[in-house]
Amino acid sequence: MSIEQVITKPDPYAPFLLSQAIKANGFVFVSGQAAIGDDGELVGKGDFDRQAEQAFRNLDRALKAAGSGLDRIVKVTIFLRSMENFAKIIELRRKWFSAPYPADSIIEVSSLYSPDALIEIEAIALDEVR
Amino acid sequence: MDAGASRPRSVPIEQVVTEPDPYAPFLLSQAIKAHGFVFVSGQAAIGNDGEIVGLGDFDRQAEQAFRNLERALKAAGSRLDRVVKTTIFLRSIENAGKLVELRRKFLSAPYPAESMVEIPSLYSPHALIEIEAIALDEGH
Repeated sequence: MSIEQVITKPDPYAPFLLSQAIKANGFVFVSGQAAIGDDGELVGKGDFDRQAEQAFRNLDRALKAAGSGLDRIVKVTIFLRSMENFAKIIELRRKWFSAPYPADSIIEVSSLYSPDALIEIEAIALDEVR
Repeated sequence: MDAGASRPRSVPIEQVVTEPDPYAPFLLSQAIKAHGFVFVSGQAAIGNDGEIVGLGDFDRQAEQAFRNLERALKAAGSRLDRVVKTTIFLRSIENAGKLVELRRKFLSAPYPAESMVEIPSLYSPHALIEIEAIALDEGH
């Protein structure tokens, strides 16, 4: 079974030697998606709602590039800078995911890749062939 | 020591054992093989004596953590170049830049999917890095 790289355009992760996502053995493993815009800069500095929207959009983009989609996610891990935003995640799950909702762990961390990043979402999804 | 209950043989998972195995007393596996994947426990800079290597030295700890990851994968019949996903836990995100060279040294293209986060503590307050991974096993 091979390992296949998933490439998005643009791909702000490439210079750091990680893939946006990897397809293997029927699954898509998506790197943590933060609120990075097309220019590689963080979108919505200090604005959790904007960052969350952008992070979910980036997750959607990575999954689509893999031939998968948000409705094929089996597991997510949501990293927050502040658990005070937990309630907002419920509405975001309602907007972006669908039943049966993914298995999900949500944790507060002391920093993401940038001190300005407020949310990052990683996911494991089924790829298109199964 | 009482190892606790065993899973039924009908459960299609296989434990990966390293020698030494500093995790066994704590009732977790170094790695588990299941359905073509190897799920590797977070690997910190633990030396063969069970103590942290490189106290206060991020570079030494990072090297040891990647070596321990490699050992667990080899014990599973897998390798670093079959890793599909990593999670890297750092005590200080200031070391994030060093990960680029570490990825270049220990991993290979296509590079794994990854999440990297800073957390307030790992299993020990002295541990500065821990890496968990999902890899393909050898039969797939």
